[in-house]
Amino acid sequence: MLELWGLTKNFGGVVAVDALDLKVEEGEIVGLIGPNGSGKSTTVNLIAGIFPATGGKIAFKDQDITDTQPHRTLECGIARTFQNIRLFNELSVWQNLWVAQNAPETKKSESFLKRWMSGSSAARRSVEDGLAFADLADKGDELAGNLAFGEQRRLELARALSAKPSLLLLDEPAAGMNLEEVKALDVRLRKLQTMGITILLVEHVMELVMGITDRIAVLNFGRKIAEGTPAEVQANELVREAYLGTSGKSSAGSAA
Amino acid sequence: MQFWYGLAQLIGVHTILGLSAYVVLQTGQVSMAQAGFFAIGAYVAGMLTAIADWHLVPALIVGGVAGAAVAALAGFPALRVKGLMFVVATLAFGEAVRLFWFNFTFQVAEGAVKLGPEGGEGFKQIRFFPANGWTDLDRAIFIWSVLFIVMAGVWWLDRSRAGAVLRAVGEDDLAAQSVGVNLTAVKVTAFAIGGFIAGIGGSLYSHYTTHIEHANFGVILATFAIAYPIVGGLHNVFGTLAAVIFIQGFLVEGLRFLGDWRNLLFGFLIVVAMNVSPRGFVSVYRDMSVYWKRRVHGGALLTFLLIVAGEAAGYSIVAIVDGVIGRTGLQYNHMAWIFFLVVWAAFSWSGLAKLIQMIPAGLSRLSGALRGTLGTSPTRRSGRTA
Repeated sequence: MLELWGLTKNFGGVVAVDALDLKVEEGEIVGLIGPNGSGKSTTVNLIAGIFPATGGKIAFKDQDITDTQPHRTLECGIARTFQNIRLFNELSVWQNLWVAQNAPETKKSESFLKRWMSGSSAARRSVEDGLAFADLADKGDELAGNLAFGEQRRLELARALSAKPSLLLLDEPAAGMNLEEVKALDVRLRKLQTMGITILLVEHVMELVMGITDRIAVLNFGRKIAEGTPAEVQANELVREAYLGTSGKSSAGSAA
Repeated sequence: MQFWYGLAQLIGVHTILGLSAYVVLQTGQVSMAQAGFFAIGAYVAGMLTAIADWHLVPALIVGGVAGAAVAALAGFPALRVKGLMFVVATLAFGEAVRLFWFNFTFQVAEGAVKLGPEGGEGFKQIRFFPANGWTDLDRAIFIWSVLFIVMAGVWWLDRSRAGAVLRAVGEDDLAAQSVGVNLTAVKVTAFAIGGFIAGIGGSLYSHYTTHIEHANFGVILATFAIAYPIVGGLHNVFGTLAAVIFIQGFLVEGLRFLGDWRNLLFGFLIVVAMNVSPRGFVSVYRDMSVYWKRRVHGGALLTFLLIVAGEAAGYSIVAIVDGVIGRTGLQYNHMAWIFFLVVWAAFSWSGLAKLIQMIPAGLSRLSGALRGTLGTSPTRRSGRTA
């Protein structure tokens, strides 16, 4: 579904992502892990089109989407969340989801004026669905900035889903969560998988990554050093070295 | 009275100018080009009525469209830069427009007089109002009617999905882009809407002053244009109106008795006002939005009625103030300050909104007291002691 061919990004002299090859098949949950500064977030930003790639190619559904503007990649069916939550804090929870009703089919089914003045009833229903998904049904009128941290994470996920994406890029969705919240997120992501959404998961929280992913790619200094099932990756020597040379099952988690 | 109508016209026109900057500010852009679009509307509409003998209303619309067209054209390159660079770019563009009119001459001889703009000499004889016998009151009412249409339109925009998109872009354009908002389209549209509103404001301005020149549209005017919505608050359109009344009515006109000290106090009072209400004069937006969030059209209708009521109240206030001045010999300055305090109290959150909140409690207390005196509600009385 998503294919990266030799994807490269230089910031000045620093090579953030170095000739990365990666394939994500439909329906999979693929993890992307690695120490801080290894280029995970840069990869997500490249796929989403936040900045242009220095080299390489990104293909999505057999279509070249390298250097596509973010709102165009969203139309192709790729939605994302951010590492540091980026909600519209001065808008209400409801409006946050309302702004995000940009699924191609929603756009087609509405007249221009209707869409811009009030949104169709379908869009409004979709907003209600999003509120229900994020367990925020009773908080629609609150300002997004006033929500608790976990609620903001849930709202951002719901906002990303508003565009009915087929591929979801999650940039550290569990950062700052306690164990219980991570478990709830796990349940939520599995639910998304059953809905047929493919997920590329960038994450440091190993409890989540090891449990939920079908495959994991490990980055270090922008290069892919390993790829395989969670068990294979855990057993990999190079991966252990990358994570500060410590060994053992939980080492990756503590190093993160 | 002459003075009052003149001030009302000025406030009306400046509020329209402020609203044009308000729309652009929603997207997080500080535009110093609003005075330029204002000038384009002023000259275009002036030429249409003075030379081509159009009626003011179509000239107004064409002036607005001219402003919007130039804004859209300027918007594509200008909006590629952000933040301070955008301020500088728009400032340069506004000055370019002003200098264009400084060099622009297009005159048509009509009998003994020559009509049309004449470069640095300015554009005289925009005599639509006097030629058609409009009184000062007529002009004031016309300008305020246009203002009220613009206010209703911008309010509606604010309450609509498009308004939410504008605010989203203003808050975090990267996040907005990532949820599917086409940044260029949204920013250019907002810029064009701003240009349209500024063009309309300029058209009205040239007709009520009857004489314009390039110097009217300098950096000072551009600064005022963005100062109004910022001082008034970006929560809703009434903030801009309140700020224009504060700045033009009270600081510029109301302090005239201070002579040269006025300029000193002027800046100081703006600083004080912004410290007192850092989020702008009018911050009731949020509280109202709870009621109106999902009922866009109903909200717009309600707003329409509110503005009509507000306008009616405004005219009555003018009449009352006029009467008070006539009978008591109080000066305009004193009345102006009293009026301003009333308006501020009414519009700020601690004023009207709290008063409204108190009404249900007051009513129930009142009814409780009535029942108590009538002795018909023993259960309620025991409930109250418990």
